[in-house]
Amino acid sequence: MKYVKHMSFNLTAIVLVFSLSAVNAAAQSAEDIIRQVDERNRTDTSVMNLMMDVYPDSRDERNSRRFVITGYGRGENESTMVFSEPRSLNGLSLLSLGDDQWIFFPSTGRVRKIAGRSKDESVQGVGGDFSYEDLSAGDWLEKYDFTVIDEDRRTWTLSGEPKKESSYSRIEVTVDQRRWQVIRVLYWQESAAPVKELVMDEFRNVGGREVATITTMANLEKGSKTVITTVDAQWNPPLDDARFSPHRFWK
Amino acid sequence: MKVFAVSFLVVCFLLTPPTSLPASPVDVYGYLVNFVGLTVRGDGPGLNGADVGYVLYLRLKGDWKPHESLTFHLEGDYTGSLGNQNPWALFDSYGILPFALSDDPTTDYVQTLAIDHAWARWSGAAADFTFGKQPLAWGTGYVFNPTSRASFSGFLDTVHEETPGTFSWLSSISPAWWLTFEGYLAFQDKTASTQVLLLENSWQYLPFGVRAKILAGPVDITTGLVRETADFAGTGIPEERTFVTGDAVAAVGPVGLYGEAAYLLPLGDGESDWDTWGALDVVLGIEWLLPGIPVTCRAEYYRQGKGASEKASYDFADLLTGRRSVLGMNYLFGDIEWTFLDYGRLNLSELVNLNDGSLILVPNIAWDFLADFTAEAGAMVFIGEDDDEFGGVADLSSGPVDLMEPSVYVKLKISF
Repeated sequence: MKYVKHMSFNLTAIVLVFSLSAVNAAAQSAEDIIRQVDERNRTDTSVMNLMMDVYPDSRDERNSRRFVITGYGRGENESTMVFSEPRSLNGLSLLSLGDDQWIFFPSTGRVRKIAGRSKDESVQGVGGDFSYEDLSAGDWLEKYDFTVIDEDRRTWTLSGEPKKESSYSRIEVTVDQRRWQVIRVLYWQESAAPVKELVMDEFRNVGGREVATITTMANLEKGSKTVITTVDAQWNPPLDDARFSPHRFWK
Repeated sequence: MKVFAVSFLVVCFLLTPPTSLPASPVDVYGYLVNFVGLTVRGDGPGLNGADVGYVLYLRLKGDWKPHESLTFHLEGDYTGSLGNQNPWALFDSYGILPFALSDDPTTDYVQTLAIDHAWARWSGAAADFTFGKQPLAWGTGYVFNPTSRASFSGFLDTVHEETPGTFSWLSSISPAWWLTFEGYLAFQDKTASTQVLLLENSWQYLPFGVRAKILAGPVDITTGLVRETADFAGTGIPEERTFVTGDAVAAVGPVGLYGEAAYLLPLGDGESDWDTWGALDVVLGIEWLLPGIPVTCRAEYYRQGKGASEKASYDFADLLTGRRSVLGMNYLFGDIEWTFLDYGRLNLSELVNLNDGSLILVPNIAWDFLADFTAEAGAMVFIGEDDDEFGGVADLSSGPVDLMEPSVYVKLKISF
């Protein structure tokens, strides 16, 4: 009896040790996976020429509005967007430093600091289905705790819980194993079904780096979608401090 | 002068960043506005006493960056105005033109063509310099800007959007990320009068403005000194006044708060009727974005220190000469904008004279048929007693004239 108890204890201990090892391996793998993705996408500065097509009804491809934007980025919280289309917005510039924003109106020559929208609202009405939170920079690893929930020959699927205040209750990220790039994200908001879907497509070498040139955000509740096309980009170019100064960003 | 010019060029070279992008092509763009306004006069029932006016407004703009540090910009406009939208016809109907239009049949009182902005800018890492005819638009207020003293901004102007250009130099320097000094020296008075007399351009009358802009955490603060010169009387001898100015703006979540103030100093022409509280013009405003729905609300209070607190003191000639945009002392502006069906905007604005209770209501609806084609319809309704500011029969030199008649309008705008 004493021998059986001893064997049972050893067996249980062995099962526990292996289980913990498996859990540890999976947790480390999720972190490793996302860390690799973040490292591939990290830049100090960037300049990107983008086209953004907003479709109020994703089924109606004829009904859309196009915005052409040059985006300047520095670090995680600094960005300037300069609009060239539609022509009615030509020259309009939007500076974002963390939660603060300023807009330059070329028609009046005035700069205004603007009230912040909540994180889940569209960027000044022109972000389409991309909210402020969607467009905010920063590593995935800083924003979410991930675990691997599925794996096949080509992809990993990871579930992410937000580490800080977020408009999303959780996300699911699909990573391409060969490219180490995110190819799909599903977003939940305390709902049974996902509310948004982000798909990254048509990966190409742009400016010496493989990036998704077509990024589509679909609002699954509203039935709308927004497609961002990366026309060209420069990675880590030197950028003047003036580009991110509230006093001079439009000059 | 030579030493200064050479030194300036050396400093520019040293401050210019080492990298430079290829010269960009010229970017030409602009817009065309078609405006039709119907004013309901009191001469007959319904539309019998209505008259109509028309404006065709073309704004053409061009940008060229031959170098990363150099920018050239040009804006010209063409205006064709007819009927009650033609200022000559309007003033003639009021009986206040000092001449008859028919006296000079060779002058085209219908069309104007002008260069409004033409400037060049050099931008360095920490400084920039702009010269030419450029907009000088200071202040954070949406409707009233007591610190903006270089030119007139349109008031109740539904056609023009741009701040008029002023012949000037403008420069800024940023010794630190959070601090910028900016200043301008202008070479024409606020009214941009068409008379040109040497006395008007005496250095003693040159308008200028200097200010320090500070980023203090969530609040942007500006403080400065501005001299305004304006030939309101059209005599060629401008009035000259100096103001201490300040403004601040902060965004707290979905709420934006701003304030702007100008304090007249007892110097120059400001000395003659100066008093402590009459010298202060203040704007306080709030903007808030209603959560979850596409509605923006805005409220702005304006105190005009030299404004009239009594109806008997209203002088409508001040409006016609441009000395004032409003006559009274205390005003409240409110605006609600609702964005609907992705491409529509419904707007209701009001301006209340808090002293006499009269108000202007401006409802407006706009639809973006295409990204660059917008159609609008709106109205301007004046509510008040006859002797109220927005009531509003003005006692002009030619006799009583109703300046505040209701109107409706349609506006089409294509951008290219």
